[in-house]
Amino acid sequence: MPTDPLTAHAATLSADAAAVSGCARRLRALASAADAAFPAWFAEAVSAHLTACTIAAEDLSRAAEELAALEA
Amino acid sequence: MTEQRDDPAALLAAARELAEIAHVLRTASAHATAALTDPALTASLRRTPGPGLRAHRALLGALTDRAGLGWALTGGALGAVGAKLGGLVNAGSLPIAVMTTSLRLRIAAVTLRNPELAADPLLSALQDAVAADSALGSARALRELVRDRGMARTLSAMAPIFGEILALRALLDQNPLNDHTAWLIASGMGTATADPLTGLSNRAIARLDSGRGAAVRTEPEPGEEAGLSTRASLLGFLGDLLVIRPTGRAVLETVLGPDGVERHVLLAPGMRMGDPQTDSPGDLLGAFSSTVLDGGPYSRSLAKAVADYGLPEGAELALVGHSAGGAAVMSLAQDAAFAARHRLTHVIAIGSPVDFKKPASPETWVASVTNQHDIIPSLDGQGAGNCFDLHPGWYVVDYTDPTHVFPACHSLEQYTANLTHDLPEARAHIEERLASYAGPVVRRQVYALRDHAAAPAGFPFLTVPTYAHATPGGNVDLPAGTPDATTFTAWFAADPAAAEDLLAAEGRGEAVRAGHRVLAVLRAVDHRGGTLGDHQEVTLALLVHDPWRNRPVGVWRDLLRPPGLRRTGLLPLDVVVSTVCAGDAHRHLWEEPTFTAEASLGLGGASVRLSVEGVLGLTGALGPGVPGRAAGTVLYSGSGGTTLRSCLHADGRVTAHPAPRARLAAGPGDHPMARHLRDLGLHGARPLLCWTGAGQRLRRDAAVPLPHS
Repeated sequence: MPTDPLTAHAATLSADAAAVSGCARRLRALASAADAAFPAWFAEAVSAHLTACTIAAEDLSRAAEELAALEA
Repeated sequence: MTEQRDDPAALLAAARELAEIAHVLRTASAHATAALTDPALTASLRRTPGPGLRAHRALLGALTDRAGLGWALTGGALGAVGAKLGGLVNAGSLPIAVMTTSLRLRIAAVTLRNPELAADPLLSALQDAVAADSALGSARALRELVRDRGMARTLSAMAPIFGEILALRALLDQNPLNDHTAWLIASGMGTATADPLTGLSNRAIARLDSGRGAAVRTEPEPGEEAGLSTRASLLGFLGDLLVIRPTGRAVLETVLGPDGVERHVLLAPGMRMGDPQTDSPGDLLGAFSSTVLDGGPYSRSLAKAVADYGLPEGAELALVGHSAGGAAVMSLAQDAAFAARHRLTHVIAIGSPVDFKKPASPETWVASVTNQHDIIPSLDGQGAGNCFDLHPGWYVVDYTDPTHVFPACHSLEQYTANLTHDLPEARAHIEERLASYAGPVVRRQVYALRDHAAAPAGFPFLTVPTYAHATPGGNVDLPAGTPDATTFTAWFAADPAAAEDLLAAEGRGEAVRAGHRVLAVLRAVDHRGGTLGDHQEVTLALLVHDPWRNRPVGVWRDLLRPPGLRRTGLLPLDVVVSTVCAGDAHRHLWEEPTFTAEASLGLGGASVRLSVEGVLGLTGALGPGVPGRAAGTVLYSGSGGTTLRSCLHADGRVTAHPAPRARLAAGPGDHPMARHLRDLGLHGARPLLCWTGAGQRLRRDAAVPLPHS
């Protein structure tokens, strides 16, 4: 466990980026599993969330790298 | 009617997954906000400006990227301000967008179960307006719905999706105070902590319901005994709750099980209708606190009832409650100390918001029966659209009923009818689990529940040490107390020569002069309850100096002192009481010249009607009144050369009437009081001043013999 606060933030955000990437995968699985019982708007909404998750994961990853570079 | 807990499972499973994803996104947003606001990052700007600035930009970019997390500042002071700013500019965040999709999917799932929700154009319009984050549209749609259906039918229509609608509205509005509650409802993480509309703290409101709880044994009301069941069963318990009704009472029963073992059942009814806050813990506020707090006066009063009932060590106990009673018995079941004292085998909650309560003992079997159109069970935020497996070990019956109309669908009558006729499998399952309780009811006790234990009558004024004093009629405890008295005192200007003669005949005292007159007092008291029981007392007295010294100047200041410190007092010439017991006490304990006769005192409409049969009458208007506090009196009495001093203490409010128009009529007979009234010139006189008091508490001390003056 890092004791320096910025290193700790970098590690947390890196893990969050991975978790958000995982969210994108879960959303993709949800979109593919949706059948006729699901409302019509569902596919479009999940697709938008999926795209946003992918970008959010990249943003978080970039922030983690910048924080890590700060302490390097 | 169908039991359809798992239908349509796919939509609810997807909603749950979306809620989990939203939570991950929110957590990541909170972590990024914490990093951005860390002073160590600010310090890095001075130490290494270039990399520090890049890190700042990267974090701020991650938290405000419309294509990514959106406006996602959350947590801490900056998060709160950021959320507020984001609300003002209508900037969306990804966690809320995903949670919104989860809630909309929950509504879609409920709509599959209840097709009438989709077929209802007004309800659909409301759902669309809420999902589109249109405050004006939501308000207009809701107004249309209420205008078309009335409030009761609107609540019934919305009930299956009530929690979701509130959470959607709260997540999407611009009020950051209700976001936490909305998140709790949407994520299924806990009971609603604030009003989802206003953000007003539910817990703060619930804490207004204070009280340690109390339970007082009481008898069933006339006609109830015959309606109570003689054999225990689920329907028997519900039938007993129907007999007791939501009247602020609870019932404890002992049943003889099929194995010959005695077991016990606590029955807790729902909310008492009427005043939202009464002395009963089952009022509206009590229902609220039972729902949102772990424990409240309702559950504590139930615990007091169980303690009073006296369960043997290790005895089995089942708890059955409807509505707020169900929430209260679940609070009781999750009280670790209570669960350690008793073996809680079953909790059955009917139409109760209990989703976030959990019994302390894993051995406790829980059944929750809810009608999807009953809005009360969803007050904790989880209703028909709940997609979380909050309590896998419970037996949950969540059903629909064509009746639909709230509050009828919340009534115990409706639940009992549903379990009797429409839910045979559910009823059979619960009865089977309750098999060890099937048997004759061998003991039953009804309890009146209270927020607070009742203080002793007259506390603290009458809570003083007492000592028994002998009278011919038996022992009397002194000080003698009266918890409830109506008093009337009239001051008259009397003939000084006649007063001197009377005092000389008594052998003590010197009358207080007011100008060229002396002051006589006619005092009537209607005692209700207390040491001497119900009786009337009428006293004719003269205001006198203390036995040792005449203080013509200081007397008025002395009259303002408390009785214990006062020298000036009343010397009773005659006392009339209406009972023999009271006569014995006045005659032997205070040595007053006492007679027994019928007396009556009536006060009302600023007038008085006082009469002592054959002795006096005082009737008429009292005129305008001035409020004040009761003051006690010092009394000098005695016989045979002995002077006794006693204090009469009074507590309560009085009204002084400085311009009374009532007039005194002394009787023509030879009764000593009538004769003294005539001698003092009071026949036909008007009082100088009167005061009256109702609901007073009185306490008269034992008489103390004074040394000879």
